[in-house]
Amino acid sequence: MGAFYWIIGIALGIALGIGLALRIVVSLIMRSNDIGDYSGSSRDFGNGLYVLEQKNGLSARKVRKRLEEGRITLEGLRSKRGLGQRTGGR
Amino acid sequence: MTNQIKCPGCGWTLEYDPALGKFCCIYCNTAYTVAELKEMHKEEKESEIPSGVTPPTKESEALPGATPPGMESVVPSGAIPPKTESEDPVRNRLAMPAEGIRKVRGTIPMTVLTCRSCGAELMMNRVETSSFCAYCGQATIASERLEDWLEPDSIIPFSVTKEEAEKIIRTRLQAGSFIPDGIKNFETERLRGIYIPYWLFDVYCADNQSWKYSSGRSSAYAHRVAECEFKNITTEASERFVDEYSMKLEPFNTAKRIPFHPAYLSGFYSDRFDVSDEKAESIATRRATQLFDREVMATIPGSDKELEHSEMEPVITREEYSMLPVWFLTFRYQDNPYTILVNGQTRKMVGAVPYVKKKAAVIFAILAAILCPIFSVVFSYVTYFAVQGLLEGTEDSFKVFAYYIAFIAVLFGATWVSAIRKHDQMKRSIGLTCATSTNRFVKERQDR
Repeated sequence: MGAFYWIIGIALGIALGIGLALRIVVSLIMRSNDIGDYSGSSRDFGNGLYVLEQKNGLSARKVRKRLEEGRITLEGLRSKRGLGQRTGGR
Repeated sequence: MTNQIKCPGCGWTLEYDPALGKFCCIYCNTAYTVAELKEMHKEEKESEIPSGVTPPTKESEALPGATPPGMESVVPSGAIPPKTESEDPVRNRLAMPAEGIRKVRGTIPMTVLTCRSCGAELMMNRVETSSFCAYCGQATIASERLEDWLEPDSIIPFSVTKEEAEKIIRTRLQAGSFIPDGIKNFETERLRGIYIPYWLFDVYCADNQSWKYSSGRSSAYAHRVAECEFKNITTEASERFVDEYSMKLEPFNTAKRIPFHPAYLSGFYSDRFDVSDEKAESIATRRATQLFDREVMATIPGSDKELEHSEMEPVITREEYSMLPVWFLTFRYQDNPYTILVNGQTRKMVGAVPYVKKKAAVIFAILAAILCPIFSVVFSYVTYFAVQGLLEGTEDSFKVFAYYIAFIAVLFGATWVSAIRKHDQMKRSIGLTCATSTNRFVKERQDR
């Protein structure tokens, strides 16, 4: 194995080694010094999602067709709840 | 006008004690519940009324300052009757009365109020609703700022005491392995319990979505019709308190909120809202949309998920003005001010402090010294075999080489990008903790 491969290997090894070392150290510092981070979860504000219709593995043409059908379901949902206008307020 | 909740026994000001959940007199060492205080005040009022005059029947007059609903029941979750724009005073009357306001330090308009106990002047900024008298130290409530359209609907009383808040912070900072000794043994500059104004929104989301995702080597589409009702999305309603910092305090247990009564403010600082519900609505609907999309995304298979089509129109179904409890602790380290927060209900601590650079550098050097030689040897051999295969010129060897290059690119990209992002996030968190605006938010209040 020639010097060429060693030079490439060392360059890549140093770059990844330093990157990974930095990543580990920053994670350790965050765990120690950055306290109480929070990005929010839907579970904090409700009972979660209710999926009415779902289909996977569709083609672009089929998904367009299903979106049209879904629009009818969506309008039905909104009118059933009477959500055409704001319902709350001080 | 100011008000103080007086001890029926000795006349000293009562303050809310989170440990007992009662109003305590530090002078004669007695404690009262809200119901007891209301009963005693009612009897007092009745004895003052001359014969022939009908006594007040409204519960609002049981205690000075505001119009409290029943104290025992939890706030109903049903919708509040709608109001038109012109009927809605919250939207139309955000400015404080001009009289009595004067500029102090050139930037913050202060109102001069009079302490009911000693008659001394009491300085409050334009949004404060409770404070302390600097001369006699008694808790004071600016009752005119809590009447009618300014009265909160609900409150979560403090359940963490001042001592507990300080202990939570000290214990957590002591446990941090990268925290400098100067911070671990900090000297408390100020520790203030402040009721922060919040808007709580119920938001209904329903959507007809299409998602594009990678499945193996090809891409495919997924279709979803889904709905979700978010309850009590908290949106902070104070201009001077940084939103990004306040959001970290969440979640609050909003199920434990009770109808507002001004007596709960006694012994704590508090502000009224100065962010309108209209402005807060857009924040709440944006949050609801993000949470909804995240939930839907979790149901999509494969990788590289991308929302292609959405018809989302979130609807606010209910809103409420609430006061939520937060402890603010300030200290100085190397001439910089730091403000650490503790959720006054859930005990959650929020804050980021500088790290010991020397220690971090040593650990980094040790890790780099171990990882670099290992990766160098691995990459040298893998590169050698990949290139040797390429020189043979077979179709498979081209593929292997291409995969090798792609693997290196992804590995390096992921490692470096994630390291830089984490580092920036850490810097941002420290910036929030030592933000001058947060420090001033706590500091620029009347000392006891």
